[in-house]
Order: sequence, then structure tokens, then C-alpha cells
Amino acid sequence: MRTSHLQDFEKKGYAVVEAGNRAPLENIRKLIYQQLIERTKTGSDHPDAALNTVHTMGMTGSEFNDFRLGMIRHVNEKIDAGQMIFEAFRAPLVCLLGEDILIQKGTNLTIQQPGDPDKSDPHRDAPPNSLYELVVWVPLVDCYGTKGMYVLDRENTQKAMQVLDGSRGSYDRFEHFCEESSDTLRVPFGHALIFWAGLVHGARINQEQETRWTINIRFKSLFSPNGLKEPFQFFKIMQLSPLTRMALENQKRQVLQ
Amino acid sequence: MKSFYSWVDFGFLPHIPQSLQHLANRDMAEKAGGRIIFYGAEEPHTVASQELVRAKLERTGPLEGFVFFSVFQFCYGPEFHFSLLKTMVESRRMEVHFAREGISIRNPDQLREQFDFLYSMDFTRRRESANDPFFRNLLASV
Repeated sequence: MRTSHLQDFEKKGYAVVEAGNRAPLENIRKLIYQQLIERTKTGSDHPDAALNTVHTMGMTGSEFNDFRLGMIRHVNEKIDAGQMIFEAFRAPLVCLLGEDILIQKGTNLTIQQPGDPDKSDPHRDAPPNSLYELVVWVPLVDCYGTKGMYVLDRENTQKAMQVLDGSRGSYDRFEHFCEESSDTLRVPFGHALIFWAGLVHGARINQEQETRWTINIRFKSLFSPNGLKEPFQFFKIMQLSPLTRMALENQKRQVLQ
Repeated sequence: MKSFYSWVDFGFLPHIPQSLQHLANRDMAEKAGGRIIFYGAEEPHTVASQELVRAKLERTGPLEGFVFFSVFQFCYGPEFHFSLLKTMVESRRMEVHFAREGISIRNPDQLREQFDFLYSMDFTRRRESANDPFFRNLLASV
């Protein structure tokens, strides 16, 4: 992670980072593209164009929902996207988390056609997730304007949470504040938005003329506080430092001898 | 079809009643390709030592394994009961499943594979239980 990115992260709680290794991202996109072609039997020869123009295939309502669920199932069962995302963004993740890293077991894939009314309302992941968690949001197509997501920086997140005080009508005021105070980010393919799980974020209705395809996944340090998500259900070990591996080998020998 | 014992978690009873724990255990048994043939639980004064499940293990006939509601059942004593887990999986060649966490340990290799995460989480949870009211109450309740 470049120093400027790290400063951004500390100040705002998020940073848009270019992949140190772009090949794994190309690979994820290619595998998803192949599945798209297999399911729809049509589409552009180029993955970027095919994903961007899925909405022109005329799938609506339950047909599109079945397609979306099928793609999500495929990504989770057949593609080790988490491993590939880690390989692409290893340097910033290790810089922020250290060498002992847990990764979310499941991968969240979102596909949002232009005009799809099911937007992602503003929310934060932590709490209930651990405050020591990072979200890595990876676009599979260039994301900009309403095709992207928005995030509130640390300062505005704090203000937003004061607006959401539980009184009647406070959620409407909170939502309005979030939409007014958020940063809408341009995140081209080959980059990721890495943000602290405690930041408020969301996505507007996609009003661009292209379909949004994104993946998000969470990482945390093995030894950091767990939050309320059950760690065994939610995470698995991504990598261990040589020292931790050595210590655990030793414990294993003692305990399971 | 495999036969399993279902063993509910005493510590979670104030939050998740026995009937719901059994439902979760039954579902886990089915996912593991088996069925529940017997139900059991510790007594309040054996929760930390897991004495009843140890006794049951000694006396039981042919059985493919146990479905526990939670990994916590191995954590109520001063340290994680890896020795009990090892006896079940290595000496008795049983499967051990945990419904709440969705963990399955089917053989000694899987026990060694899962060790790192089980050990680390036991460590972090013990550290957190001092500050977390839910886990503090859970541990205090037994």
C-alpha cells in the first residue's frame, strides 16, 4: 500500500487501491463471464462488455432473480474468489491487518441492472461485526456515479450515527444525511475500495446505462476481537505468519499428543 | 445411515431453549448423513468437566458420533477439552459435529486441520469474555 493510500485510510477510513497483481482479478472476471455465457447462451466476446450489458438481454423479475441467485451460487461453489482477491490486494491487506489473517468464507456477488429499485440502504457492518474488520469491495466492471457505491468517511459516519438516534423519523433523516454527505467513488476494474467495517455505506439505484457487477468480502486479524458474528460460521484462516504457525504447531504437538 | 447422539449446550439454555437446540442438532445430523438416536446434556455441576458425555462415551455401543450444539461446550472448563475431542475422533473413530458453528470433524486429519482455528478462537474468546456481557454471562451461567 502506498503511503498516500495509508494516510487516506487513517484519515477517512477507506482507500481506493490499485491491485498489486491484476491477474487474479482478470481470472475471477473470466470465470464469471464464462458462467454468464453458459447460462444465457449469448453475450459479447469481451468479458467487460458482456457484464456491462447484461440488462440488454431482457431478463426481468423472477427470471433475473433466478439468474442472479444462480450466479451467486456458482461463485461460492466453484470460484475461490476470496483467495484471488487476497492475492490481488495482498500488500495493503497485510499492511492493515498483519500476517495472521482470517477471510470471510462466503463471497458476496451483487448484480444491479440500471433502474433496479432494490438499492442497498445506508448501513454499517460493525457493530455487529468486529470493529477490527475490513471490507474489500471489488468491481468487476468500471464503477462510477450511481453505478458505484457511496461511503461516509469517519467524521461523517460519526455525525450520521448521531442523527440515527432511534427517535421517530430519525432513519429518514439519517438516510438523507448519508446521501448528502457521502463520497461517491470512482473505482475502475483492477482496483478495490478497502474500507473499515465501521463506516456507513450503501448504494443508490443504478441510473447509469451499464450493469453493476461487484464482489465484496471481509478480512480480519486472527487474534483481533470477534464482534457478534460467529467466527466459525463466517471466517476461515487465510494465512498465518511463520511465527504463529510455529507456535500453533508446538501447541498442537502438546495438546493432541 | 449414521447414528449420532445429540448433546445440548447448558450454557446457551437461557438464550436458546433445549427444543431449538435439538432442532439445530437434528438438522446438522442430517447434513452429516445421519440421524439422532439419543439426546443428552450435562448436569449443572458437570458442565465444566463434561463428565456426563465422557461417561456416555465409555458406555455407549456402536455409534458414528456426537452432534453438539456449540463449540462452547468444550470451553466451559479452564481450557479447551482437546483431549476429549481427540479421544472421540482418534481413539473412538467418531465424528464430532457442532450445529451452531457449522463445524464437522470427521477424522484425525480434520482435527489437526481445524486445530489452529479452534485454538485461536478459544484464546480470543477467553480474552473477550472479561469485557463482553453476553460471553461473561454465558461463562458465569455454568
